[in-house]
Amino acid sequence: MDFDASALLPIFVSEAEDGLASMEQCLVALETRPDDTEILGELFRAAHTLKGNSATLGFAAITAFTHVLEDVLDRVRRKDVKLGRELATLLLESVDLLRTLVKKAPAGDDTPAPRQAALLKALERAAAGGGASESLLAAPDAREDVAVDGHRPGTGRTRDLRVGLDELDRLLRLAGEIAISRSRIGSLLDAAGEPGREALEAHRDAERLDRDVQELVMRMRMVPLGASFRPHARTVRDAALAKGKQARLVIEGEEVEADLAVVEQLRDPITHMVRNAVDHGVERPDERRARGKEPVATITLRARHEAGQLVVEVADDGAGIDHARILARARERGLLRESQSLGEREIHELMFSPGFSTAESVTELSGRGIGMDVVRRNIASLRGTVEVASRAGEGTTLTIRLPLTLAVIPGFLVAAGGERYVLPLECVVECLDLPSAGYDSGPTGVAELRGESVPYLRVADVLGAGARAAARECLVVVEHGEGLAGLAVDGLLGEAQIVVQSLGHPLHSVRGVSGSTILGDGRVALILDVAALLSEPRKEAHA
Amino acid sequence: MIEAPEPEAAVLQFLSFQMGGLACAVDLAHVREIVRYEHVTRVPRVASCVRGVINLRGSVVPVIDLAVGFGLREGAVTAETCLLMVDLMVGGERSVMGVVAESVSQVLELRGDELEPVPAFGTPIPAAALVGLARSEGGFTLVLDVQRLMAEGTFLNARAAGERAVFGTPISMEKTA
Repeated sequence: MDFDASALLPIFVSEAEDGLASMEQCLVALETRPDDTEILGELFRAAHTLKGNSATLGFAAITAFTHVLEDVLDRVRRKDVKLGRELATLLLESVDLLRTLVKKAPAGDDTPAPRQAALLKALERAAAGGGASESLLAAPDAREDVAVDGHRPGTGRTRDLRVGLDELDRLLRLAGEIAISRSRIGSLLDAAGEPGREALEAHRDAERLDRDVQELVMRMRMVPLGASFRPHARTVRDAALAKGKQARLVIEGEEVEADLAVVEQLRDPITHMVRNAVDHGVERPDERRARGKEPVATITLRARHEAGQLVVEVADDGAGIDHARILARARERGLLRESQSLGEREIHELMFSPGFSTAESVTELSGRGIGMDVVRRNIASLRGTVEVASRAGEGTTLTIRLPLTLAVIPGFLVAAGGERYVLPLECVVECLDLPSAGYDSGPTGVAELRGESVPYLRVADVLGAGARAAARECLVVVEHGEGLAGLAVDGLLGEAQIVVQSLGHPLHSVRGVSGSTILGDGRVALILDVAALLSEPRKEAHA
Repeated sequence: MIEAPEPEAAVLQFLSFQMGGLACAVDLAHVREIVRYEHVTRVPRVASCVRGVINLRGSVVPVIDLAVGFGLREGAVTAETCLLMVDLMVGGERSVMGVVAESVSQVLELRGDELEPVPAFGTPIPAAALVGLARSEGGFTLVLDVQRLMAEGTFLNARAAGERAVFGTPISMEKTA
């Protein structure tokens, strides 16, 4: 090759992965709509583009494989061969194999993948068998009409640019840091009084621009959920096939957008929920017929925005949650005493207990030791919640609610024990001075708020920080479960947009701390996990 | 630098520094940079040898005080105190950490055979934490096996399980007011 191919490799890989994902979706879609020529055309184009691109870069194995694949697809297109379940499975396996090859090829690794020879032979048989028309293999020109629609590599979407998520992360962090240092300049100018007035006005103008930049960066990170939902059609197909069931996936709200980081971290929990719906939610075709339902079950993956949150639902039209079975399993697992009786809500909660799984037998798909407890934990780490709703005979719906973005949260900055901490603003109700007289000065105490008693923690003491400096303390009142609780701090430093970072590997999972952020002066402040701090067990402490 | 004549006599580079009043050194290959010791944000509920976290050009990075980890006397922060930013594999992940040094001395160039084996006992730091000793005018420089020390990164979160020893040395525990 006389040009620098290495620069093209990342583009090749990401385009090939997109192409393979689209082939997979087409194949699953064709199973229910075998005569849809549009889908078939798209499938064919994707295979053809992959063949062309890999040939350009000299990846012989991929080129040869896609060539045969294309032959098979051509016969399907000409209706010489019927795209039955068996052939669809073969083609889906081929897509999987190509994924492996695409990953290996750029590293110069052209060793055959497992089953490559067997799959190739099977494809060749499919391409040769099932009809006459010997000329097909020898006449590649016959398919150019479909393949050429201006979608050649490098010419299709010239106005798009692929940007690494790392860079977007960094850009977002910088935008957030600018916002924080701005708010500091603002307060300095404010404190300067009259001489700083004009500067303050100019500063406010610039602040608006900064906000626009930050919003734009946030927008750039937003992607529609459709692309991450569509591969679940395959999940449903494979899970149903393995269980002798029939099911299809319906996607609603493909265009709903969320932060790429949220979308990525949702993938595993949703896969698990979709599999669960097929494995445990829907009935076998004969049972469904007996109940007067369509034999093919429907799993619906639905996304929408609601009150500033992202809502994702995984719904099935199956039998609904079998309360008796859940109770029996919970007793068997020792999660529940024999005599205990529970309401519907508590029964549903049992499914999220660690070690609970109603699978009668461990299956390849849902028996990998992941339970709903892990799903809930994953969602909780995204600051989200999972709820269950079920109607006997009509189906089950799992609802995930998440904040739209993870990276930036409105925070409330406080000082305690010589350090600064951030509380998520959403949990702060109000702030007041903590009267010093008449109360315990230990790590906990009770304050009075409009005639109600509010228990509080002293942040500096609870976190073992340095000595309390201030003679006067403030109480930040936060929501805690059904009621209110307080956090006693040395000072209130105000609101700020906080760019959330982890605590830095390998310092993770410190109880009571959910992350960190870099403040305007370049120092690090910890973000407190208020719920965890308030709910941790503590000894009755009295000074 | 003169080309090494024999492979076993290859020259190794170490950065020597003062830690807990001792002359120590680490393989220079692990040291990414040296930064001034500035404000370190304390992190609660971790082993006391974790001084906290700092902002290293936009990334949050932990700071480790090995002197505390080894139960040595903790040096006061002076103008000479600095952080060796070491680049290591911890639990299969690359991570950068700051190691507190009371002062940085020099780069030592040693041939492999100049690195003396660690005696079974008698060193102020447990033998398991060392790769060897380097002889210098004033005595010995303790060459730390920093990769191995940090690879057992679980000790960083030791506070939760009650303080645990690092290489057999009990960690002195701070009082929580």
